[in-house]
Amino acid sequence: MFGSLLRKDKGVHFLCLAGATFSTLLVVSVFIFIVRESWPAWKNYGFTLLVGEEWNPVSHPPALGLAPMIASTLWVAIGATLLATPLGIGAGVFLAEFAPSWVGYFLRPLINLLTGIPSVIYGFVGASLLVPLAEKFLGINSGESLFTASLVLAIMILPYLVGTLEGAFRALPKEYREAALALGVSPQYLVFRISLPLSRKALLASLLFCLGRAAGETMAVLMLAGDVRLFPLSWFAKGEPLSALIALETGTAARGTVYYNALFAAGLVLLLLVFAINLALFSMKRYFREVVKID
Amino acid sequence: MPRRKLLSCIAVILSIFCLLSGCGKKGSQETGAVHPPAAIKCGGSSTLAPVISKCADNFTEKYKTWDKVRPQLPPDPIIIFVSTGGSGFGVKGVLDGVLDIGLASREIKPEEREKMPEGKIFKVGVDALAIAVHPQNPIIQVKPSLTPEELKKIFSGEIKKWKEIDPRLPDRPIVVCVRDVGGGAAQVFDELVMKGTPVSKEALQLPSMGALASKVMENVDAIGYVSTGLIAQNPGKLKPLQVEGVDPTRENILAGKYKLARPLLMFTRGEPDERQQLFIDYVLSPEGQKVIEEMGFIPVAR
Amino acid sequence: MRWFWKDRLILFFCWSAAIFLGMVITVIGVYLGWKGIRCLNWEFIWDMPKGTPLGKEGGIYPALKGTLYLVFFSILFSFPLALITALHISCYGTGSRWGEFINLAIQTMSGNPSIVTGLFGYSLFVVSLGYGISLLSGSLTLGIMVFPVMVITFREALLAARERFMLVALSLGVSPWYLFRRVILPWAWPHIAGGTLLAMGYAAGATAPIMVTAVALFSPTTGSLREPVMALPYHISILFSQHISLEKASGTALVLLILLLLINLTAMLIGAFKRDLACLVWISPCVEGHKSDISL
Repeated sequence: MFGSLLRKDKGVHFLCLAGATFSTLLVVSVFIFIVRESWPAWKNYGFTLLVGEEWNPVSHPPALGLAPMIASTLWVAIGATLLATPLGIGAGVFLAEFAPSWVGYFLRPLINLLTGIPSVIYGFVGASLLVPLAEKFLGINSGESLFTASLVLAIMILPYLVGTLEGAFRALPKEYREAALALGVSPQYLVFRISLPLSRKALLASLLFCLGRAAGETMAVLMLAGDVRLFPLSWFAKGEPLSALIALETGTAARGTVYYNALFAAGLVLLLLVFAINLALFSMKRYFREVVKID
Repeated sequence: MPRRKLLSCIAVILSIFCLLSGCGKKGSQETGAVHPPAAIKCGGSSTLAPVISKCADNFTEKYKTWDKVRPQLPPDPIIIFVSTGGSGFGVKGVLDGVLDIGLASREIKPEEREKMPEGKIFKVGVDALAIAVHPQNPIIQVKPSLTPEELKKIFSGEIKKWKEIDPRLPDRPIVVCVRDVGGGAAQVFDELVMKGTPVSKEALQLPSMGALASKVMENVDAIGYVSTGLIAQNPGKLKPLQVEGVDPTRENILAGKYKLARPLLMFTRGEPDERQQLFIDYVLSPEGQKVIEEMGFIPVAR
Repeated sequence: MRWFWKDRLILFFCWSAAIFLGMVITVIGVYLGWKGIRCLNWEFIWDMPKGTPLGKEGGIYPALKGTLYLVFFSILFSFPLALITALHISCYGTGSRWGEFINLAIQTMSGNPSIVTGLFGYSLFVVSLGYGISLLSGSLTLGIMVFPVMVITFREALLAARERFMLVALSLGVSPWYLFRRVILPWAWPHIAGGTLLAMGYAAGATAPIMVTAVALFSPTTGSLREPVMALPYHISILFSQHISLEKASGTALVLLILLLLINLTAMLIGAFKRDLACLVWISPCVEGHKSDISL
């Protein structure tokens, strides 16, 4: 509606359109570029790139299989989301319903600040605190493992989960709450039987979002996952997620070799994984607008 | 309208910075066209990079501007960058023109040499790979010497437990630590010990020699090939094992008795220009060689 | 009666989750503070890295400077474009297919892992365009990384402003450009500043993209765009992973944390840092349904 009115202002409209188009093309070109650079690898290796279990770029011919890395990425990301879910729900509910107001005032900005801490600091603190603990208590012979990495990632994504959940709770219509309390149910019943089911879409969306964030995280997994090329068969094994592989080896691969292309293929796999999650989120937003029109 | 003022102020500041940054860029490009590039970019081997950074720091501190090094040169400030990323990165960076001077802690392979036929290679030091373990590892008392065959078995994953090396050792898994494929050490070790047998996939890959050394320092069950320089830099925290009964001492390495030796190289794609040559000369001078010795490597005899 | 026990259990669970979260924050703060405070002094901030190997002693001045340069230039590159794009999405492009597509594309790219952006920056700026490993490549890459974040925050602010003023102003016959310049932009200014600060914090902490495009182990960091720089996050990872000095690494992490804290506090002071603006940026797709929560 506004758009057509505004477009009468030709000069500004043109400037806007040009700027937005340019920047969008730039942003989209990330995707196109990655596809283009990885193309020779797909052409030469095809499906084995995805299912091959061997990654040895200096052998002749180079063995380039991404399966262990993809599996590590999934272990780490799904593990982190699973670890974060109960804690996130607990803390979100706490902030929305049970927190004494002073605790809320104290905790909320702190949680916000937690989102601002860069992953290298999480990785650093995690590697110096958790790795020795993991060696002691988990009985693994060296503390780095997919589990340790997902523990740190869980803490990294927790603030997002808490934030959205609390937001979703507060956005629920007051009527439900008033009606429920008037009927004499406990706040706990209200939360877990009424509010939580009502905001399950928001919860699902934020979980998906967290999964995407966890899959793309680099520094923390680079420092904590252990960097082993073996196919990870358990959560406590070591592994090298896609992001760590790219960060470690990008400097080494010479341009024009299939090794270089394979690193871009790794980037493409990671990108597509996150894209799929984002598109799911986006379609959920449509759903929100049309069906769950709350306000 | 204070807000409007604020806005216009910010707009002005932004545009000034735009202009300034534009000028700065142009300026550096112009100087680049007239004189040889003012800044020297070095990069490569994670073993050598800390040494070269230290040399670069000393060199810059000592002379500050180029005319103090050699009066004919213009009084530009000396600017040297050192990046790390492994010997593979060094070779590749020099070939791509990203780096001026490459750093490698292995021999330059013939196929790499072919791509830079006019390149110059300078040997600035000698290093050796010591098979290092944690100082509390009982293998130091029980079996202080390993043969290349045993090493091959350990690093290829054929031997998985300490007990399998010697029955007196604990029944615990060996944590094998290696450098990733970009590392010079990985290739030297591959050539001298593994001879084509792939390294165990269970081995922990570490992104730099420093990281490898620190992993072995922290973990009692770890074993890894650590540069002798890093063993000297962390006295008492790492214990080198003998290979075929030979200790990785300076004398043994120089005499060629210790087999896992490797050169520390600086190289350029073409003929190094005057400033690059001056810096390489500094590294080769007694002052630069002193840094190499301080960092635990063996200086080259001139 | 059954709910009585369950209620207790739920209450206990929620409290413990919150306490755990609080504890995590405390542990990170106390650990870094306790380890890092000892080497935090003026010399640490104003000195070059010293010692053998470099970084064991001395300070972090070039790294601090490098991080500031990276943040400054990345924001410089992306801010004008982000503002224009947000304006297009929220006002000029509404109702057109292309506008929708731009929105969708930016929304999708906001989740792009930073290492993939780094890979892109490496292959485009460092190798193809020949900028080399330099401040220029690094800040362009960071600019691409923070761009969607900025667009999304700006868009939210502009949308709210639009709802508020656009209909009235247009019916009064005010020209759109005047409306934007004199009404919408001044009104949305705090939010735009808040979004920019958020993006600055994001850029300051990013390690993965600059690791392959901009940083060096040692660099005097003169600020020339064609030269590599040092940066705080990379310095932390080098000091820690190369086992140079744990104490200096904690000190550097503390400095970075304080820098980010300052940025975030400024955002809060401007008043734009609504309770969950930070989350909103990331998760706007799923909160959008609950418009009442944003209430700008």
